[in-house]
Amino acid sequence: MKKLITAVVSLGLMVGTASAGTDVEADRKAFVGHFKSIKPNVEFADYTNGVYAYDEGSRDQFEEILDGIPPYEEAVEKGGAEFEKFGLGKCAALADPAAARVKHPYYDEAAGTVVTLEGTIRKCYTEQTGKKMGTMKGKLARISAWVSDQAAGEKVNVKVESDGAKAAYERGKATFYAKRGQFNMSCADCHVYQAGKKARADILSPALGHTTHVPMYRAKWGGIGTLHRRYGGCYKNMRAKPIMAQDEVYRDMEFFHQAMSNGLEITDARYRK
Amino acid sequence: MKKLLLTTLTVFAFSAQADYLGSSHNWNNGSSDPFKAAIAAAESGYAANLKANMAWRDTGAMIKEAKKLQASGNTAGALALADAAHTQTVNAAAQTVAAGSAGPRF
Ligand code: HEC
Repeated sequence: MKKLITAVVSLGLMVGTASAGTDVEADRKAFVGHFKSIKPNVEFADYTNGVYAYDEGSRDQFEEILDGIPPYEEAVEKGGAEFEKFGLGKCAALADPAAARVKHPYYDEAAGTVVTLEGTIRKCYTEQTGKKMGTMKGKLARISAWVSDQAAGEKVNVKVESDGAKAAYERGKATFYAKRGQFNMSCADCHVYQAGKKARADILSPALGHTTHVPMYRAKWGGIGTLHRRYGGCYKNMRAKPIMAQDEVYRDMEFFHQAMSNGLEITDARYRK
Repeated sequence: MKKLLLTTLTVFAFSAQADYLGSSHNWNNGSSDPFKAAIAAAESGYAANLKANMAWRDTGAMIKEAKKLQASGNTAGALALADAAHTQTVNAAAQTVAAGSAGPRF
C-alpha cells in the first residue's frame, strides 16, 4: 500500500513539474542564442525585418517598396475605416488598438485558453454586427493589420505566467518542434536549423521575428493574410493536413511563436515576397 | 437470459478487440475481402490521426480515390492505394508518439 501511495504521489509530482519547469525567458535566450550562433553579424533588433535581416539580395527591393507606396497600404487604410464602421472601438478589448496589439496573444484565465488578436476582433465584430467573420484574409486581415499598425515601434511582449498559460505555451512549443506530414519535418527544421539557407527560390526566414509584422502581405497571395493562414500554408508544404485557423492548436503555437520574439519591435512593414 | 447476456457480452468483447486491432496494425481484420480490410484500416487510422491533429495532407484524398478505383473495377489499383493510405496513417501515428517529447536541439 505504501508503495502504491509513493508511486501515485511521484506521478502527481511529475505531472506538476511539467509546467513548473517552464522557463520562457530561458527558452527565448537559447532561441536567440541559436540565431546568434548561425548569423553572428546580424543584430538582434534587425530580426524585426524577418527574412530581410538575412536576405541581402532582396533587402534593397524590400526597402524600395517601403519607400514608395507599399502594395498593402490601401488595404490597411480600409481596415481602419472598417474598424470605425463596425464600431469595434466600442469593445473594451479594442478601445485602445495599440494596447490591444501588445496585449495579444494572452492566456485568458477564466476561459482557460489563449486569445489571439484575431480572436478578439472576430468576437467584437459578431457582438457589434451579429455577423460572423472569416479567419484568414479579407476584413479580418485588414482590420488586424490596421490595429497592429497603431502599435508600430512598441515591442512584442507575450506574458506566460500562470500554470494554465505555461501548459498552453508547452503545447504550442511541442507543435512547433514536432515532425509532421509526409516530409517528416518540423517548423524548426526550416525556420530554426536551416534559417538563411535556400529552399527552391526562397531564403528560409528565421522564426525569430516571425510575428513582428503580422498579418503579413505576401506577393504570392496578392494581399494580406493572417499568421494562421501562413501556418496552414506551411502545413501543406510539409504535406501535413492544416488545422483550422484559430483552432486551439494554432493559438497555442502562436503563443509560443510570438513569445520567442519578445523584445523585438512590432512593425508596419508587412511586405514579403 | 443469463446465457444471452453472456453471449452478447462475449461478442461485444471480441468485436471491440477486433476493432481496436483494426485501428492500429491489423491489415486484414478478419475480412475475406482484402480491399475492405485495407480501406477499413486506412479509415480508422486516418480518423485517429485527425483526432491527434497529426494527419497527413493527402491521406483523405487517397482513401476517396481508392474507393473510386474499387467502384470502377480497378481492384488492384484500389488495393494498392488503400494500403498506401494505411501506411501513411501508421507513419503519422508514429509521429504522434514522437511529438509528445518534441523540443529544441539547443
Ligand atoms: C520545408 C520548409 C518549411 C517548413 C517545414 C515550414 N516552413 Fe514556414 N515557410 C517556408 C517558406 C519557404 C516560407 C516563405 C519564405 C520565408 O519567409 O521563409 C515560409 C514562410 C513562413 C512564415 C512567414 C514569414 C514571414 O516573414 O512572413 C511563417 C510565419 C512560417 N513560415 C511559419 C512556419 C511554421 C509555424 C511552420 C511549422 C508548422 C513552418 N513554417 C514550417 C518553409 C517552411
